[in-house]
Amino acid sequence: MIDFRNITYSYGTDMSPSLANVTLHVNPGEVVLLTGSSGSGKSTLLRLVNGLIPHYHEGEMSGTVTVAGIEPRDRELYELAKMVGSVFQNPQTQFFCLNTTEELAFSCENFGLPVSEIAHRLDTTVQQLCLEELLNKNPFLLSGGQKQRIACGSAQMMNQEIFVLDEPSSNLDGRSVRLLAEVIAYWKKEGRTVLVAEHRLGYLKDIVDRVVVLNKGSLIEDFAASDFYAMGSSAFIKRGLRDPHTECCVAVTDQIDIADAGFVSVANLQYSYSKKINGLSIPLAKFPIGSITALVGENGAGKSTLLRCLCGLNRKCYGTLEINGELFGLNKPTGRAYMVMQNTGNQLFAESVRAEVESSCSSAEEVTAILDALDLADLAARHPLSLSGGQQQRVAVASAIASNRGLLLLDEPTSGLDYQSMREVASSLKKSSIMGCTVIVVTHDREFITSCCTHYAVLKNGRLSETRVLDEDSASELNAALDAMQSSVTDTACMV
Amino acid sequence: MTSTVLALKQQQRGILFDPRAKFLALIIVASLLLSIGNEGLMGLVRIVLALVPFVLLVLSRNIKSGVAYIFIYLVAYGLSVVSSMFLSGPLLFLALGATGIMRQFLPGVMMGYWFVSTTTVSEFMAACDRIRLTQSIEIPLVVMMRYFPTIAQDYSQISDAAKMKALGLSQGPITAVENRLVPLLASAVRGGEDLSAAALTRGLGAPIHRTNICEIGFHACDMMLLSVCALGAILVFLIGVA
Amino acid sequence: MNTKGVKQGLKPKDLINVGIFSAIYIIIVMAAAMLGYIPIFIPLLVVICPIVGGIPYMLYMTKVHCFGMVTIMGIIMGVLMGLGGMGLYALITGPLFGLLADLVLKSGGYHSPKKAVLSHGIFSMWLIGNYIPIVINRASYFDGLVQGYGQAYAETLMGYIPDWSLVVLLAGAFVFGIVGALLGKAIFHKHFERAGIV
Repeated sequence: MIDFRNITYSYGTDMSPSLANVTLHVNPGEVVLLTGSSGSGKSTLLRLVNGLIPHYHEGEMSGTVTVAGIEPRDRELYELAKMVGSVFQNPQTQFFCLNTTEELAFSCENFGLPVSEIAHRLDTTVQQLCLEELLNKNPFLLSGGQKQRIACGSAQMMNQEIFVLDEPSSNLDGRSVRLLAEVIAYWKKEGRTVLVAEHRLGYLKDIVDRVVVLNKGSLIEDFAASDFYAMGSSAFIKRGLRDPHTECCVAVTDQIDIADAGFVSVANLQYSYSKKINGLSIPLAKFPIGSITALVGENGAGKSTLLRCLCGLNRKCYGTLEINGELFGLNKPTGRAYMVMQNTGNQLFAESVRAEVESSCSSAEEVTAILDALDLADLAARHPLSLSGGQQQRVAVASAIASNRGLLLLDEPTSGLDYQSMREVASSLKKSSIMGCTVIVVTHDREFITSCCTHYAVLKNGRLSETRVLDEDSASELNAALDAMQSSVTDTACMV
Repeated sequence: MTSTVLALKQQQRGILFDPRAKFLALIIVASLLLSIGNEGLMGLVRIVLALVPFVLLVLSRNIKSGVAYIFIYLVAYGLSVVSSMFLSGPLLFLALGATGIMRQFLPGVMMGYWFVSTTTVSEFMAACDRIRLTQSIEIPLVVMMRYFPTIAQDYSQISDAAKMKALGLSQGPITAVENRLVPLLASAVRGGEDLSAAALTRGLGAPIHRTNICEIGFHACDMMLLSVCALGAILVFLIGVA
Repeated sequence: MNTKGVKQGLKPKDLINVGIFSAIYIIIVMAAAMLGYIPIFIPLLVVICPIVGGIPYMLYMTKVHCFGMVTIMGIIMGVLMGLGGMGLYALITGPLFGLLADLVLKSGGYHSPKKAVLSHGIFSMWLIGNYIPIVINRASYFDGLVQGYGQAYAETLMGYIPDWSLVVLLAGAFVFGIVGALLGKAIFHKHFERAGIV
């Protein structure tokens, strides 16, 4: 179905090739997982299939690609769109319409299908992928998983035989990932050919037929799925891959010890959204100083809102934050909490990494020390926006340490990160904890929790559980809680 | 062929006007606001015109914005009256200038907001098609409509970050502008690339005559809207002549 | 059914870029134009708007490789001004100066940084369309001001904008357009180029 023969490709501005002499054959109906660390060439391979290379991205290519018997470079992009459906990483930017129903119909409209035919296909797709609940909504207001589901629906409206998905789970939590997995499983059942580029491997375990591992542009291994998933943890780590075994359970292995130095506490926190019932209501929450607390909870439980409240970014939030014996109202910026946002690029303002960290701290030696501690010294002169996602997270963490605020908050820092970057972020959090920060991190990434968190708390319906030390006993409870969140089936019922 | 999905689509949006009718109404209201004075009868007409976007917003069930708008408008109006009674000199200039601009442009801006917020991408493209607008204008316009909310979202994240970092205007206006503009532009360019890729892999710009799932066409409500606008225009013209 | 083809040269990708940058440009320029909230500052807008507009414009230049993209942006500015109640003259000045800017860029083969700076100076002159109503309809505009704001205010404001000022404003838009483009270029080198956003 898809044939790559001796492909070497480099993007216009790059010197080093993104793909080096890759040969790969994909049979009809196969589901192939492409994995490898960031920059390994996974996405480039997908772009060769859907025609974005050479029609959108400019670069140098040698070798031949054949997709369903034709060569993409000989056809116009829109012709390829009829054969290959594409789903991208960021659900926020891949919607063209601001209404989900129109989004689904968008490709059919572009190809001038008669309205009756579009209506028919809409009905079919909605039924197949269980999208009824999601119709006629503003896609901005859906959860990540719902958005990706609409994106999948939109991708299949032209009855394509081939689908390419470029890190579709990056911005999704555990339950949303299941929603996505169901769609891919459905495509497989229908006999479509699917290529998925992913860092996260666990959710595809029972779906994919083959796993292809890439490294720095070269295809290094081609496994049957069963062989791949049978490998032990060390085999994954050796290849720089996320470990699908720890992806499904939190363990206590890597934690740092924290000294008993009192608490950062939040008291009488009250916040309500304009009319919704479940706002936040937290009578008292205590986070040991120097701890790294994983804050878990379902989609829409208010995790991100809680972080915003702790920064004092929600004016209608009442309550107090006590830190080092000082009290701060939460209805205005507290100046004691530093948040690393999901879109880290939107909070890095300076023209170099060093300047960014210096903007929150005047002492040059201290800045140097922090950059060294977080392994950012080599990047000090780079522009923050030129860095990868994981590196940007670390720069923000460095700024937080430099700002000497005491409380460091992170919102899903590991979404879309490969193994190496995830470990680096984890280690930077440990460093920040040693340097006196108390860390609260919203996450659902069990491998990440395993690699750095010392405590956890569960947010449910606006109430926060007690902060618990992560030990053998509580880890199993946390696992159970995370499993429960993942399998709650409110909007998946019809597909299973 | 009946479709449950498409039937569902027509609910929940209040009165639906044809995009072309909306566009015409927008032009008429904006140009009337520009061409009439503030005194006497014309002042009255101006207030009536200011009510138009309010009514339209309410009709399209965007009551919150409608009420907020009319409130601000009335406050500006009241302030201009009060300040001309109690203030004098440069202070009066400032007050009159500020409230005057508000009264001059706010209704037009709200008409624009009403248009953008009630017109979906498919409707807009269908309307462009009917008036035979070339794709070279249509695609940029529709991308703009799509992109405003994204920019707003990015901006709010950036200003949150600035607030959180406690960066006010203290570093001077140029740095403050640079701090906000650079991430905003960077994010817009990156997001734009993603959006392009997503749109192109779904056939946008194919040299094929587009179809549209939404039905557009002139109905009674469009006639009403346009007659009201036309009536207003004629009235203004007659008063002007008299 | 007729087939609506895209003009040769301009690809859908380019049209999407026109839309994105028009959105950014108009938002930034309008935010700056909020200063005109105070009418006495209205003439100052030919200084401030081209200066801030230069930043997105110079970034836009990295995406412009063929004829028409700046012209379309000019048309869109005109349409938006017309709809926003700024009068219909921008519907002429927008496309006109967009076209001229495009021609300048074309003469540099869309690669000359100097031509890019010059083209922003020319493009910025579209702003003049927003001032024409004040001058052309001077009498009725003045009457309106007198009725609304009183004689003294009207005289002061109109004193700032004599007829000949149109030429000064036009020249100002050009000069500060160049300044804005240079600023945009500086920011481009300081940030966007190093950030790899091209």
